[in-house]
Amino acid sequence: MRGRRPLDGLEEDIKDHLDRETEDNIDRGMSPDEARRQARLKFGNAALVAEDTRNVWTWTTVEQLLGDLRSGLRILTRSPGVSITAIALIALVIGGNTIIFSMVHGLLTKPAPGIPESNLVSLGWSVDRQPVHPTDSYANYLDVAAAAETVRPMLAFRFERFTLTHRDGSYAVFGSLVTPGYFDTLGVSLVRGRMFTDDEAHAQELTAVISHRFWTEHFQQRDDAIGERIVLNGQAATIVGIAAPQFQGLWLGERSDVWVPLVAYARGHAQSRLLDERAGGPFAMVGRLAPGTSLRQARTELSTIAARLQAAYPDANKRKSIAVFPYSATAAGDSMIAQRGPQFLALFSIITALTLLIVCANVANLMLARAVSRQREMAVRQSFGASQLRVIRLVLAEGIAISGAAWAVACFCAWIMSKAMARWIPPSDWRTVRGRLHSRLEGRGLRAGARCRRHDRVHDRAGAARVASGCTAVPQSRRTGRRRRTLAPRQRPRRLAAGVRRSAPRRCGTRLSVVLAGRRDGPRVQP
Amino acid sequence: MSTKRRRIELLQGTLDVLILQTLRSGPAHGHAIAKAIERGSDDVLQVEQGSLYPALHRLIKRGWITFDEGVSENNRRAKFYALTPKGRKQLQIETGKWDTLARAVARILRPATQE
Repeated sequence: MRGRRPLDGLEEDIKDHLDRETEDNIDRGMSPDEARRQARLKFGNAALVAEDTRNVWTWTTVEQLLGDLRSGLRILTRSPGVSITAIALIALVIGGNTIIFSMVHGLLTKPAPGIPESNLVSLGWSVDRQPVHPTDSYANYLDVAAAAETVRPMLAFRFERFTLTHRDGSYAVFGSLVTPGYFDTLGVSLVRGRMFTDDEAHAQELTAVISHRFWTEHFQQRDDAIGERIVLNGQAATIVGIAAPQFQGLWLGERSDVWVPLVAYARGHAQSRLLDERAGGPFAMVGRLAPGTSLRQARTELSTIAARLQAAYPDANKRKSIAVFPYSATAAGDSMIAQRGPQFLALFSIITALTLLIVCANVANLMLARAVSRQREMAVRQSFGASQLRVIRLVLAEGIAISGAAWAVACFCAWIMSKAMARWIPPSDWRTVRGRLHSRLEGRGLRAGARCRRHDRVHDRAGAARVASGCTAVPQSRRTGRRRRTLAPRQRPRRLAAGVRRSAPRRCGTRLSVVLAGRRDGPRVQP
Repeated sequence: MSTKRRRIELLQGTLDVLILQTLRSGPAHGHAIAKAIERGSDDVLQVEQGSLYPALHRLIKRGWITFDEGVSENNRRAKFYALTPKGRKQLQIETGKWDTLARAVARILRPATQE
């Protein structure tokens, strides 16, 4: 019996009560019908009594809260000025902070487009615990990649500018020199063709993977683009693969359109020295944490590897240590950003919270001012029997109504603003990225190609071509006589000084006119 | 002379304490509680029987009374309500409040009796 709920048998209880009252009335001398009628009159509506009894156990607070909310909404419209001010204040702060925080968080933590979320880490190098440098030598990369178990596989890459020539013309494009496992390590698939093999990575013949964007714009997504012969900075190459849509490199705004094997390219352009140097280099490294491995374990192992490198090559790797950070689109080659990013986000969160607190205080002041003006109303409510708790609940309901309206407006504003910003801000501003890239990766002061006023002469194997570059100069191979030299970017400004004509500055990387041998006006193409 | 007494309706909130007081002498079913209050007040207090069961369930919900199935004096099944220790304590508190209220009202209504 103890297991029974109080409402069990309620109807029987009421019926039993009516029966007993009827019997009492009969004992008093009433007729049975009259006794029953009087009993019912005295008891009242049995169904209503049952409902009132059940309401004791149901959660009426929600119904009361809804009633309070309706009342709160009505009161909001009585003071539209205060209500709109409060809603606008809260919505602005919430919406604005949400947008900004989301953007910053996305920039600092998300991978570049086309790269699936994964356990990628970027490696950096520091000497004597100085600020981390994101790049180092290819020789060190080989040793680290061979020895590391916690970060495997690993890739190395270096940015490069290309003049890509094919039957439709020549284009200034951006790209990367990469190790063979580049796409595998990143988890980026190819929509056509294949990735680089270990053999061709070291072969004389150059192979290339082009971006989906370039394939669409210049090959109209034709399948026969695979196997197409192109010329990259004067070296012949064969397209072997097309990258997945959206993927254009590890960095935010990288906009790479071509990837070539690092070793094959370096050898083909007399840059073998770069491969053998150990003291430093322009190669950034990214790897994937092995399954079940934590970042801490990776850091421990790589510290050990760095110590071994120090011992093995004391001149080149003196006091050099390896730092490991979670990869993001802004920290692929810049461990400094990965290192400082979480701290910045934490600080940003605090500032966001403080901003919200300040606005809440302002809104609380508004509500307090309004509450003071409603003292009489509250006194009248209490005189009608409303408890203090009831009055507090009513005021809280108004606050909830304002908060709810502000939240809805904030969501709408944040959605609108995110759409607008995506439309107004260029998806990538290579100039900005390039400026940062140059200052980070090419710390010795890469200047070539950063100017927008030069004409230059580009020769390819097929013949003479004059390239009028309206903007960023591209890595160029220049043939003087029979010797073809490939200019390293940092050499370019001096080498190209001769014969350079200044032209009107144009937007970077947007226009390239090609004059082929025998033709004065070649096709103007836009990279 | 009219012998018909005028019944006074229970003030709001008094039914609960009267139920507690009625159950102090032992468990009772709903109808018996209503009759006990009427008899105990010499038929002065009229219990609105429609309010009785919601009041009983309120008291159960607060833990002041409990219930159990039983058999009444005429062999009929009924739900019997009994006071809990918590209810007993609450009864003391409510009784004290009523005494205080009654003295205060009496002092105002009949100030001469105080002297």
